[in-house]
Amino acid sequence: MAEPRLIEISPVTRVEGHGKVTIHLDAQNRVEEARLHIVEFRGFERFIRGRLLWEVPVIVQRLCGICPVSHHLAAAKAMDMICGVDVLPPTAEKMRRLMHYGQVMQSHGCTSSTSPRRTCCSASARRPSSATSSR
Amino acid sequence: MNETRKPRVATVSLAGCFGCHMAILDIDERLVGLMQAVEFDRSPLTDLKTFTRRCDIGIIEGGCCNEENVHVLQDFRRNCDVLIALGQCAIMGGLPAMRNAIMQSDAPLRECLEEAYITGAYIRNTTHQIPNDPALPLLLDRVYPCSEVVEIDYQIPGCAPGGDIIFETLSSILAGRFHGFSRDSFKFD
Ligand code: SF4
Repeated sequence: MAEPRLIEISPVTRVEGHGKVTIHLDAQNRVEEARLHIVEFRGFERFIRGRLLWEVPVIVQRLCGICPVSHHLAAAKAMDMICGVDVLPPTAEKMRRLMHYGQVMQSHGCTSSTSPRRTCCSASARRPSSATSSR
Repeated sequence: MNETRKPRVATVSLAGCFGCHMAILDIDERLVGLMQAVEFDRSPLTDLKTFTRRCDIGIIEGGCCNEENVHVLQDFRRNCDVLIALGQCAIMGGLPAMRNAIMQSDAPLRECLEEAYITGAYIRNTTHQIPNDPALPLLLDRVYPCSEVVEIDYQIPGCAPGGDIIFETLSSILAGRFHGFSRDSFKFD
């Protein structure tokens, strides 16, 4: 009879970087447990506390360089809640949507041929300023 | 460097957000030329998880926030002739290093873990445990820039660095004619 075994898949490559999966097998080689580990811990939850309101959307972009806009917009919404904003001005709403579409395009391999720094799917969409979180 | 072979490049993301790797892709169509001029070894771009051979250049994104980051970084130092720290995280810890400086705290790391897993407003963790599976790498007391762990040869600043500066720096290092950055390349408005 085999010994209990541990299969480790590390890193998991089709997530943003830093995951690990361990599969625990029993003595009969049956899966007992499969665990997903998020190995990178940075502590954003704590260290954004005490920062200026409008810094936060820009700070949390650095949670993930692949979907920074999602984090930016999530923080912008949190800032809206803190400030008691229920209805966005139409321009802000459109800008947020535009940014998000830009990110979706970028994530799906869209590249422009001539002027990479001017397209919505290149650098300009990736590191937005905090403009959309202010009113 | 042997004339007949392409320079080999390895890349890795330590305690970074992968934004710097995304920024490498921001060199856009020039990537095609780069792929022809160099050979990528260990890198998320190739999915190779270990070195297959010694490399000329290692590109590091992110600083060190856990022991695994340190081991990987040391492995890169051993296996690469030249190491480039790409982006603020690799150069000085970047945003994750904000945890080093949580004010009035004797135990910033503990505070971060508790906020994330126990006391945070939307956390539902009935066991009140902080993840401690043996598969998880041990967290370091602080977030360390790469240069505090191994010797770093070049630094490309930015969060993330622009595609142009990555391309130009990499090209000139490959050509052996890198003499620092021009003033213009860091003019921010
Ligand atoms: S320097 Fe910025 S873009 Fe690069 S890994 Fe760090 S947070 Fe991400």
